[in-house]
Formats: sequence, structure tokens, C-alpha cells
Amino acid sequence: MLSDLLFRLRAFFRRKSMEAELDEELHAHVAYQVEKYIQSGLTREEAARRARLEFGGLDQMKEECRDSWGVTLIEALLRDVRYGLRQLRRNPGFTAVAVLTLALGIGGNVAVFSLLDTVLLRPLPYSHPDRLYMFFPVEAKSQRAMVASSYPNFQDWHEQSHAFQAMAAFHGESFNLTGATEPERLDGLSITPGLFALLGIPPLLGREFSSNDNPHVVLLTYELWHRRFGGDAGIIGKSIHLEGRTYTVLGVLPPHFHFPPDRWGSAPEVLVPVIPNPERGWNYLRVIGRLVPGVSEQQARTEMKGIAARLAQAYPNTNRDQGIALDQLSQAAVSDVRQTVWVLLGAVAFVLLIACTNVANLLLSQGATREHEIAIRTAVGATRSRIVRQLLTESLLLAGMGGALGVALAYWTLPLVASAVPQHTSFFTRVHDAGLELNSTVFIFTVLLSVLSCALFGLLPAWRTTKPARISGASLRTGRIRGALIALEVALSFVLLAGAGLMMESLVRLLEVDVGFRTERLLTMDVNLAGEKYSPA
Amino acid sequence: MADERIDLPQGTLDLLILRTVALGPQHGWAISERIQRISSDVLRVQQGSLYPALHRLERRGWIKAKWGASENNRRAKYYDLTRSGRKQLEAEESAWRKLIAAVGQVLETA
Repeated sequence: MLSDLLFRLRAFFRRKSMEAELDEELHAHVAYQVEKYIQSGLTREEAARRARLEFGGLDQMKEECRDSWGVTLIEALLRDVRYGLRQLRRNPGFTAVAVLTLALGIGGNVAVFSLLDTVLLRPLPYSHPDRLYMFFPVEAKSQRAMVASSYPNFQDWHEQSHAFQAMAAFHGESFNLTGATEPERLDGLSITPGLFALLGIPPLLGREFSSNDNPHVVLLTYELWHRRFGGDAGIIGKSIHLEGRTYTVLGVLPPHFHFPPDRWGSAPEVLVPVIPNPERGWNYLRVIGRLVPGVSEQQARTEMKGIAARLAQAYPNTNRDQGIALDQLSQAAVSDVRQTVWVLLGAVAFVLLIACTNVANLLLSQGATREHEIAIRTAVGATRSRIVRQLLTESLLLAGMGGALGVALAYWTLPLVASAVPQHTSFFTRVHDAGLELNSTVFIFTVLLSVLSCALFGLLPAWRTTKPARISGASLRTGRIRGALIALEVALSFVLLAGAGLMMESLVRLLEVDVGFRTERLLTMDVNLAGEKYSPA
Repeated sequence: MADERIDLPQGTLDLLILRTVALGPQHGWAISERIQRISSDVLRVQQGSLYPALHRLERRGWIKAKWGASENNRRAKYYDLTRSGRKQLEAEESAWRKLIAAVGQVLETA
């Protein structure tokens, strides 16, 4: 295998020396034959004549030898590419319009796909994120899932479940940070011990909470540690002031730690222990668990169902008719935007389809002007498949250039996309945490998309243009095909416009909802009063 | 005499070339002469198929080519059998023997 490849490569790159050797080898053969005839008594001229005659066509034999070098396919392809490039350069107007059209179509798709990659495809930045699950209490009657559960319920789930190797609970909170420099309002998170072990993220400095820590200890994110405390390496054990109380710093988290993934815009920077509330009806905790390897989601659901039933029996006042639903963390994190992303991708896919029909139409009208060239090539012996291959190579070149320009367009527009993402959505959180980027997944998508669009806009014109015996009736039919393409384009545009119109209408209706009071010239604001200094009125 | 010459059946040329160069490095003309002589002029190798076959076998890695000086001081391209070529020769030889044995059996008994 390897020697085969090496031989082909040599034949391809050292073509000249291979040709010279072939020539010498064949001439040597003739010379031997001539000598043999001379020895058998012929004159030199007669011997040479006979040897040549026997040997036959030198060029044809050379061609057959070249065939057995196995490079003819590569060479034909390269010839097609060179010829295609020349053809495209000869029609700069056509080329520019086709490439731009494709670039707009492909670029939009690349931009939206990179959004989809960030929001839906890329795994969450925790260890084995596929085994992380969120728990949702469900009201059996209405089948309504709630977000939060109570501390006693969380504890019972934790103790009775075997399908989950670890469980933790948390809830969002905010804190006033006061001290040496100016006070700051911070997003925070109250968590139960073991959350970081569960996520597989060890603290950068210090340690996480354990169950016998007092409630006034705190973990800082890396970013806060740098912003407020100058990255002080000796921060562990020092005190900071939150809500007017003193907390001891236990640890610092690694950089880019983002949790929970569905926090809708808030960015917790301080983490404190959860204060247990013994009331079973007080739902304030969100619960997360890590599945034991090898245990299926179905097994876990069944087990939680049993636990819910036992709790309902033991605490009918609070837990009657309460089930427990499970969702993979990655699913739960984007459940509200999953559909939106696909709708967006559908919309840009339509745009690309329109672009492809457009280019197909351009190619068809080009075909009319190239009839002459194709007729000549057919006359000198080119087969139909050979000409189709040539035309498709040109289409592929167009698609390739369109794809490259499309990626460039997407690269420039990505910051715009990122800034257009509305806050307080899981879109925003995922884009903020993971960032939009043109990575290898997006690149592969682009290549596949370019090839696909080439097939979409190139096949029909190539097949039409090379149709044999193009008599007058044929061009009439081409006209009909172009008509059909235009109809398709209008139909596709119509679908897009109708979709956009419907969305606009629901937006207008949302804006027109009567909220029961006059919203003009009304503003909202939050005022935070630190609890210690202001007694409840 | 010309009537007794037969063209090579499809696929046997490779076997004959491999067998011939197994005796030692040979250039193209000598290979065709040798096949012709050993077969008492019955087998005739067409140059039109000899050289493409040599180049194909070289690409496969069964023979390798080297330029050297021939008897009368002419530069010639010598072909020699490689290790994988020897294996290929053994395989093709036994396949060929099986084939003629089977064909012979059918001809005698049928």
C-alpha cells in the first residue's frame, strides 16, 4: 500500500524525470531489437524499419504506461480546476454575483450554527456532564413541574436514592459586599456541601464546605478574588463582610467557573452554605444529582417515583400528589431556547435554499452561452459524464469560494450576534459562559454545507446544459425549468416572509397586552437595603 | 511457424514477468525475448502490453526498477523481484497450477 502511494506521488511530482525514463526505456527496447535483426543478417535500415513497425505506436504505448502510474485521475481533476478557474475569471460579473449570493446564504447559516453549537452542542464545562441531572417536583394533578424543593425533601431524596452517587442543592441570593473599598452588590449562591465534588471541579485554593462548617464561611470566584482582593494568595482564613456580617474565606474557585448553567443572566460570585429550613412545605432549593455510572435514566426515574410515593404517604399535608421529574442538566439549561435556535436555523436554511435556486438560475442562463463550447468539446470526443464533471467542478469552486467568504462574513458578524442575544435568557448565559466561536465543528459544518449547496445548485444546470441533441424544443424546456425555479424562489421567500410576519404579529400583541395600569412614563428600580441596619418596618 | 504462436491469455503476463525476473534482474526487451525463447517461440509478448504491465507491477511494489549498464554499454532499466513480489509469484503460480490441473481433468474425462 505504502509503496503504491509513494510511486504515485513520485509519478505526480517528478513527472518530468518519469517521462524521460519512459522515453529512454522504450527507445532502448527498439535499439535491442534492431541489433537482433542486424545480427540475423538484415541491413541497418531494414532492421530499423522492421523494429519500428513491430513496436507500433510509441505515443499510445506511453499513454498506457502513464495510465498504469495511476495519476491520470488526479491530473484530470487538476485540469478541471484550472479550466474552471479560467472560466470563472472570464465572467467576473457572474462569478461575483454567484459567490456573493452563496456567501450571504452560507454565512448566515454558519453564524446561526455557531450559536447552536454554543447553546446546544458543546458539553457543559463539568466532569462527565451527561450524568448530571436536575430534579423538579411535579404536581400530579396539573403535571406542572416546579423549580424548587424543600430542605427536608432534598434530604430524604438524598438518603433514600441509590441511583445517584451524589446530590446537592442550591439557591440564588444576593449580597452587599462592604469593607475597605466601595460597597458592591453581588450575585451569590447558597449551596449544600459537596456541590463541587459532584461537579468534578476542585477549588483552586482552600477547600469547599463540609457539613460541620459554621454558616458564616464563604467561597469566592476567581474573578471576584482578582477584582476585589488583588489575587491575594493569603486570602484563605481572612474575613470579608457580607450583609454586614463577617464571613471567613474558605476557598477560591478556578477561573471561568459558571454555575448554574441556567441562571438567566445572573453571575454568582460569592458562595455561602445553605441555611436549612426545617419546614417541608417551604420550597426554595434547586436540586442537582450525579447518576451512578451504568445506571440508566429510566432506573433513576423509577426509583425517584418510589421515593415520591413513600414521602406522599408519610407527609400527606405537604407531599400528597407530588412526583419528581428528572432532566439532564444540559437539557434543563436550555429548555426555554432549544426551539428558538432550531427555528433560527430553519430560517437561514430557507435563505440558503433561495440563494441556491438563484445561482442555479444564473448557471442555466450561462449554459445557453456555453452551448457552443460544449458542442465543440463533445465533437472532439468528450463524453457527457466528462463534461458534467467539468461543470460540477466549476460549481464546486463557486461553492468553495462562497463558503470561504461566508465564514469571513460570519466571523465579522459573530460579535453582533453575541451582542444581540437578550439578557435574562439561557441563550445569554451559554453565550456568556462558552462564547461564540468558529471551531472545528463549525468548520466541518461549513464544508458539508458548501458541498451540499453545490449539489443543490449545480446538478440540475449541469444535467440540462449537457443534454444531447439540443434542438429548438430543448431550449424551450430550459425556459420552463427556469420558470419553475423562479416559482420555487418566490414560494420560499413567501414562507420566510409569512413566518417573519407571524412572529411580528405575536410581538405586537405582546406589546398591546393590557396590564391593568398605564405603563407610559413608569420606570422600575431595585433598592437594596442591608438587612442588619434596617429593621423591618 | 508464425501460426504456432499464440497470444497470452488474460492475466498470465504478470505471472510470466514475475517468473522471469525471479531468475535475476532483467530489462524489458530481455524479458520478452526470454519468455519467447523459453516457450520455444510459442508465447509472444506484445510490447504494447509489456511496458504498462512492468510499470503496474512496479507500482504494486512487486518488482523494483534500477538503471544499470547493459552488455553493450547501453543504459538500461533493470527490473528485479521484491520480497512481496516473491510472495505474489508463489501465490499466482499455485493458482495457475490448480487451474490447469482442473482444466486438464475436465478435458480428459468429460
